[in-house]
Amino acid sequence: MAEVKKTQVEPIDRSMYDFRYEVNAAFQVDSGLTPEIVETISEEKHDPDWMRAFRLKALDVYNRTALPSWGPPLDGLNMANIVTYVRPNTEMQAKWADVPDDIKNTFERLGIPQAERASLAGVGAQYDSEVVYHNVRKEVQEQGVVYTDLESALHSDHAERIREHFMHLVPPSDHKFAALHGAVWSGGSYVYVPAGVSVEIPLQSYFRLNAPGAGQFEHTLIIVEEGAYLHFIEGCSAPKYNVANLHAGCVEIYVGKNARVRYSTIENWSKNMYNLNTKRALVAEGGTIEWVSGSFGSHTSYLYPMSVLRGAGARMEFTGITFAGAGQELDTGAQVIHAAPRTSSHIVTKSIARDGGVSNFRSAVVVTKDAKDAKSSVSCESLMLDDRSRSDTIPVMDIACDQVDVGHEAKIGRISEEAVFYLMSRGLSEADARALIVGGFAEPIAKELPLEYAVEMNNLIHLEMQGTIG
Amino acid sequence: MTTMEQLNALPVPTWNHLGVNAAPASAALPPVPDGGWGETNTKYDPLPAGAACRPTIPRACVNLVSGLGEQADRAIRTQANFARFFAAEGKLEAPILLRETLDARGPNAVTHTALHAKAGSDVTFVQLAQGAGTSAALTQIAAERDAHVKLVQVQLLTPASRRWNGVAIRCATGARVEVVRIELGAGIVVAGARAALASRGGEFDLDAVYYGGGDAVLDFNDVSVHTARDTTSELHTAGVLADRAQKVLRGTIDFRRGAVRGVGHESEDVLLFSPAVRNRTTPLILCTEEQVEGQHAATIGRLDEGMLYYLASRGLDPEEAKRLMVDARFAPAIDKLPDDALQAAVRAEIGRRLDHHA
Repeated sequence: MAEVKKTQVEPIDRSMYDFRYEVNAAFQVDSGLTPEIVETISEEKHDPDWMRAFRLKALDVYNRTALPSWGPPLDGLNMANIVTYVRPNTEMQAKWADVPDDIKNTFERLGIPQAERASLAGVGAQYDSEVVYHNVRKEVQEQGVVYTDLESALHSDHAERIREHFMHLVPPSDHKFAALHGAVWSGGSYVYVPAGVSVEIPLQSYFRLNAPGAGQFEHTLIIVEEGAYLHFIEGCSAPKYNVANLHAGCVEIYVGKNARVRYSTIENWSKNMYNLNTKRALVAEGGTIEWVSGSFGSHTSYLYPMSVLRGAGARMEFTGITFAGAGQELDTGAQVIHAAPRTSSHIVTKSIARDGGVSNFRSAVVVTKDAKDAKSSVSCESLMLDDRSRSDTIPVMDIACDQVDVGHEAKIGRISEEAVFYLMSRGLSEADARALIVGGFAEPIAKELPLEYAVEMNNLIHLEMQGTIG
Repeated sequence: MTTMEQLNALPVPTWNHLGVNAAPASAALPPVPDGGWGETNTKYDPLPAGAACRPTIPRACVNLVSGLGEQADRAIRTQANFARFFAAEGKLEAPILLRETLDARGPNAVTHTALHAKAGSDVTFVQLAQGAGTSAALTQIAAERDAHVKLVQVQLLTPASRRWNGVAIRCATGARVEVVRIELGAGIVVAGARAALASRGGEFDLDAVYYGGGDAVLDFNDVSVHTARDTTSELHTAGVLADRAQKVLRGTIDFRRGAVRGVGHESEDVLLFSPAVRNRTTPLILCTEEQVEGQHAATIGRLDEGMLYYLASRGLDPEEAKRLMVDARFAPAIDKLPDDALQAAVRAEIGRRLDHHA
């Protein structure tokens, strides 16, 4: 292997996301976390009694649970400085025209209303702690599909269904930030797709955190009944501040018998964000969960969507890309539990580290003794763009059944100099050649993304690669 | 020995509930029995020309850390009832052969050996553990410039025996250390090899084989740390788990800054012969250097039914086919044993184990 010249890349251009408006909150709690703050949030949100009791119990679990003993450092996160609830100065609206100008402008700059008009069946938009806009197309509503904010749903005829599912997949005892979420959650979406209904165009929720030093704790609960189909897109961003912000959201997805759910996420939080998010799906017999995940932002991320394949023949696919730059430590991956016969999982990830960033892949494939004839394959590839960055691959396979077929492969490396040389011999500049190669590396992931996100990701990669080659 | 807090620790921890961050409490080194470890029946054969032996181990070797971890290494070093330092110069025509035979008179072998392979030397060091009892071994290898060391470890202890096996390696410029580790017996097996590739062109190759049956607990932690240019590691393991055996394999290739043009490959192929076994595999690649090539792969499952069918169509009965396919997986390690009789003994032991699980 010949020694190569170093590649220097410029930091990412986040100007599209890094704009802010003055905080114009209708109400916010003090920073820190106390039973009084949790009770205030509960009161503000008009919680039913069971939810208020749930929050206080979760707070107790939080106080008794230690920080993770693994993963990136969380030293810069001090809960005493985090404001857990900021209510924007508006009620939830069903028309963009009714949303206050500063908030509306935020989402317009992010392209959300345009996307809704062009290619979405419904949109939810959360600003700080509350959903400010929610709308779903009439024809989708007429199919019996419910897409609304979780608080409204808690007071609707879906209240009992929510009680039966809320934080059952991710109990507060799961880890410290699940407990925190249980105590102070606010906002998020509730989606219900009746049996046999196929939602042909996606629903999208977008989360924007505007207030400095605040936390966002939205809860997304999705129930897709037998034989139904849903594609749900989640996007998130925030302006950059010089104080730590926290995102500890939670996503719970119940995939019914022979149903299919695709959950796509493009995470572009600013680089002061601690993104400690928990996502989990429970998949019934013959059901399928597909995760598509792009992680580009945040200062620190812990993000490993888990799929519990509980029914025979249930399937999981995970496709993810992580791009870590200066000051970022992104610890991402996936988890799957095969708990029934003939279940299958397929995990494909790509990660890129440059400019001193840390991009880790972490996974767990667990096959229980009940999972006869389970199949699992994991493939992860990492690309190092310089020797100031770091990329660790930390997979675990835990197999308790002999009739299985489990495969795993991982690769780490750099840009092939032979490929650069070949492309330059065909007339490309070195910078374009390297950008093309990195784009090709990410291509299998990009093709799984919704088109507008794939285009955006390719633009981001091209921007990354426009640095000095020397 | 004292209970270990971090025995066979994973270099970068992960979720605690998976139980792979360190060896389980049931695999901890045992406390020193009343009256100490007693006499041991550990001996070495007459040394070949070019080899020398003395009872004192120099500090330069003592400081090398094995995959078991510093605490376990220290416990074995300080409690050893057999300690020897071997030095090798030039090309040795025959192996250095060390035999640990555990029996009623000496059921406990706590063995600390170190090997200094001088510049340009070529040496094979064979360690054979047999019998019934407790074997705790630490082997430290310092391979000087362009030296070639082959360490062969064959463990054929009884199922009720217990085994701890730490190997610590340092490769100087151009040095190559091969380890062939065959762990076929014992109810508790804890092994960890760690190589420090801190000089240009150093190479560490591990070919490991295990066979866990009954209620055996097997725990492995192999680490290759690349800090110098043009260093190479090849870590390859094959194993069989039967009955209610449990196994954890941690394999880590750690490319640190400066390991320019480092290359590391690791693989594991596990055959599962019972629905009650538990296999955990954790292959890590850690990387802070751009110009490296790292790769790992793992295959876990039962024998390929298509292959069994094919072999049956060629006239092999199912047991013969099974034996053939196990042998194919184990052959890369067994074929490296330097002695035909030793190869035959290992194959015979594997045959007995397969007969038991037929």
